[in-house]
Amino acid sequence: MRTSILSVSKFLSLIIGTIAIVPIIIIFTSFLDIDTNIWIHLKNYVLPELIVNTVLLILGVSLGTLCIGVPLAYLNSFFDFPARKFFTFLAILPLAIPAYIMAFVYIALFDSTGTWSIFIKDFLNLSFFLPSIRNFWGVSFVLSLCFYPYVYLLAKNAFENQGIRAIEVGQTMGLSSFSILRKITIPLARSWIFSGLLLALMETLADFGAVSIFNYSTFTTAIYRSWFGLYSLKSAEQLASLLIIAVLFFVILERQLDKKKSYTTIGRGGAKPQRVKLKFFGTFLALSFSFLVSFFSFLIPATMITKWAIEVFNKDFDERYLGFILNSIQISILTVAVLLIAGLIMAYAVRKYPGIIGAIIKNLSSLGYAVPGSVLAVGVFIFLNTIETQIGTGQKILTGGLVGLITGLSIRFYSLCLAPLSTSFLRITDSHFSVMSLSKNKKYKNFLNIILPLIKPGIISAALIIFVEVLKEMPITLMTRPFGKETLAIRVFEMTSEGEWQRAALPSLFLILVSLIPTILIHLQSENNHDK
Amino acid sequence: MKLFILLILSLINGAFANELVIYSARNEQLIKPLFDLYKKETGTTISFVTDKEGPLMQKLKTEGANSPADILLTVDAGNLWLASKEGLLQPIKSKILSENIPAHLRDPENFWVGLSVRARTIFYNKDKVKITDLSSYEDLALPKWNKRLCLRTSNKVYNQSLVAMMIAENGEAPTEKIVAGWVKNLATTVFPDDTKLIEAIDAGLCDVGIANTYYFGKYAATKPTAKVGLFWPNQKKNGVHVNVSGAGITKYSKNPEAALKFIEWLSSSNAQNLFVDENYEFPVNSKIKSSPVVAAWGKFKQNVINVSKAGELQSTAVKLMDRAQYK
Repeated sequence: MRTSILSVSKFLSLIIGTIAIVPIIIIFTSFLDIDTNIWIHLKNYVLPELIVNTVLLILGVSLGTLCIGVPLAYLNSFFDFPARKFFTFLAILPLAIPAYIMAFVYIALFDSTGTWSIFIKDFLNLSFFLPSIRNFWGVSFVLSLCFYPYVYLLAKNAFENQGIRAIEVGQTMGLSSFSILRKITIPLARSWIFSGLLLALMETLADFGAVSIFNYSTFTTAIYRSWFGLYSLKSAEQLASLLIIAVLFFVILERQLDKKKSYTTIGRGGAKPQRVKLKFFGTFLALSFSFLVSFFSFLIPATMITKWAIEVFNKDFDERYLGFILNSIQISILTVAVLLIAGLIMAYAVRKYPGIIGAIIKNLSSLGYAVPGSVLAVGVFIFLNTIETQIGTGQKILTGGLVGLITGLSIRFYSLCLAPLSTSFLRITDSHFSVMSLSKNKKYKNFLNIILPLIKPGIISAALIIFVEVLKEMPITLMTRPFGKETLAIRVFEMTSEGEWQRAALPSLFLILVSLIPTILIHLQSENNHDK
Repeated sequence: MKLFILLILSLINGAFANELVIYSARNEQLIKPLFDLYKKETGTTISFVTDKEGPLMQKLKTEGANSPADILLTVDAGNLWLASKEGLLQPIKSKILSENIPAHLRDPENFWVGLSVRARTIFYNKDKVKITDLSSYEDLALPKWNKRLCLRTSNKVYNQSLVAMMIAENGEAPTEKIVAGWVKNLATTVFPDDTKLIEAIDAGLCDVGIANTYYFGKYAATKPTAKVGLFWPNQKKNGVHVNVSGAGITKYSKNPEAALKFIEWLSSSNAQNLFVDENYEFPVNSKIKSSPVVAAWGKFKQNVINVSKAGELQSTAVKLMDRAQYK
């Protein structure tokens, strides 16, 4: 009886892994047909600069997201200060703003013809105070603001659930708060922080919109230039494959460094540290930091988007928006549901049956997120179309319908569910499994009673991140949506494709508003839990 | 079992009975009014999806004979050229189209036709540049424009097409010299879009730049006091570089007659103004008048090299721009 269930979760995770990996393999098959001339050209004139740019950007965004995400999570998990709950809530919201919209807002305000730049130049007469922002610094700053919530969310999960015992041990050993942070808290959260960082970096690598607005060419610029400019999708896919290999290398490196560790919670699993009430100076620092982060990452862009949205409201708003909103919500919820099930099966199987095959499938299947959206969309589309032709009667049952769209989106965002879920499963110990196998209860009851409470924070983070990302997603939605299934993100596309950024503010504002729904729900729930 | 799955899937997806299906890289807001009008006039229902040109063509290619699409609608002749080269389109034979559309704005092999004309021209800051100083695209490479020129990124197909057409006109080596001259003259790093570039000219950050006219149309509509002037270059030579947004009938269209009828309708008087005016473009059909705003920019001589050259020479152009360090 038990063996049959064993094989079920193994078997299913194999299928899930395969579905996520096939589009990546399709991208790799481009190597069957190499255009040497294009490669020579790229090597001579394009790649050297772009590789340097990309490495710098990776460093910049790593530094930025870590310096924002980790301290913010630390403050919010271990300390109490006025308006903390409000800032906890604001800290997630930048995820709701598409990166290229954020980039455009910053260009509109701070580029040489921007509102604030002109104010500083003409009114304050401080022209020397006007560095250009269309460069490395500008793009690193803005992308860090966009992507730090991944680091923040996962670090917060780690901090709030690593248990109080370890910290108490540190305290009895007479370590200062800073030493505890450096020697205990951060090392114990390392896997989580790395997972969040990896997501942020994969987003950075795959980004084309924001870097273009900042006129900062990266590897992805070369990918799109090869495809759209040199008309060579094959070369574009080959470049994308290199990106995947680079990320894979990164993942393996981290696994090697992290190999010997285990993250079992000490003592009572759920015991959370009491938040320390900050004194005057600490409160001042915590408030300033939280405010600055929210100010730049959410308040500025949200205000600007609202202003533009109001300007175009009369012209562009019509009754169809209700449909856009409902379609967006429907697609997001369905994708979240599919991915949570798939991710739970995969994370469970990998934790329950540790082994090299599980690890390989898990890691390979999560690489698709580093592939620029449109390139992955082609891979996904070929995959869906092949299945369709195999089972089909010539009808467009997959690529023309909701099923294809949800499958495509699930493949795209699979890494987003795997990262929080598999780190959550690090909390599950072998003794949990022993208890489960001794228990007379049914398997699923054991799962609900024993495992679920421990991985709940991971599930919530995954659901939230996926919901918001699906809302914003364009390439897969564009390519696989059924006729007439228009969403808010599609509206953003229609406006931005010819550079009408201000008009894109209206659908963007609705994106933010829709994202608020799950964010508020989850926020209320997690804060209640914490206060119990 | 297989039948059951099929049944479920088709129930979820809903059954579609479309008379005409269009894949469009032209924005929804620019094409939807036309589809609505066509339905009113002829009763034909049009379904469509929008996407970027590259993915759209891959979608068509992957679907092959199963594709529901009848028409591919894109911007930039280069994309249309590529679509026909990739075997995604079928030849069109139509007297109406040959009459309505000038030969240089149609595919020489009749796989596609242009439907609206966009001109890529020179804009200047009225306070800083005397109109007599301006003459041609090539002239902008001269040292007198040092630190005064602004350009949009070479990643954008409009610049790739412009350079491709210049290669067709002047040859590769002279064009490379011109592009290198432009890069040398740049006042600031290249811009992400034409609107930002026009804005920078207006603000005096650059004196002169190259952009598509319709971006200027939109900009001037929101900012009538703009100090930006429009100049038609190369009038003593071969004329202003133009490009098209256009359409072709897909190779596996289930309904090519209806598709042709619709394209013919788009080239005719009823539709032309609706197709081009909202976006400040020029009608492809010379019998049709431009909107008053566009007409006010004055008459100009167009370059009559066939726009399909933009596609043929695009990758040459992109490599040339890379060599010239045009980002």
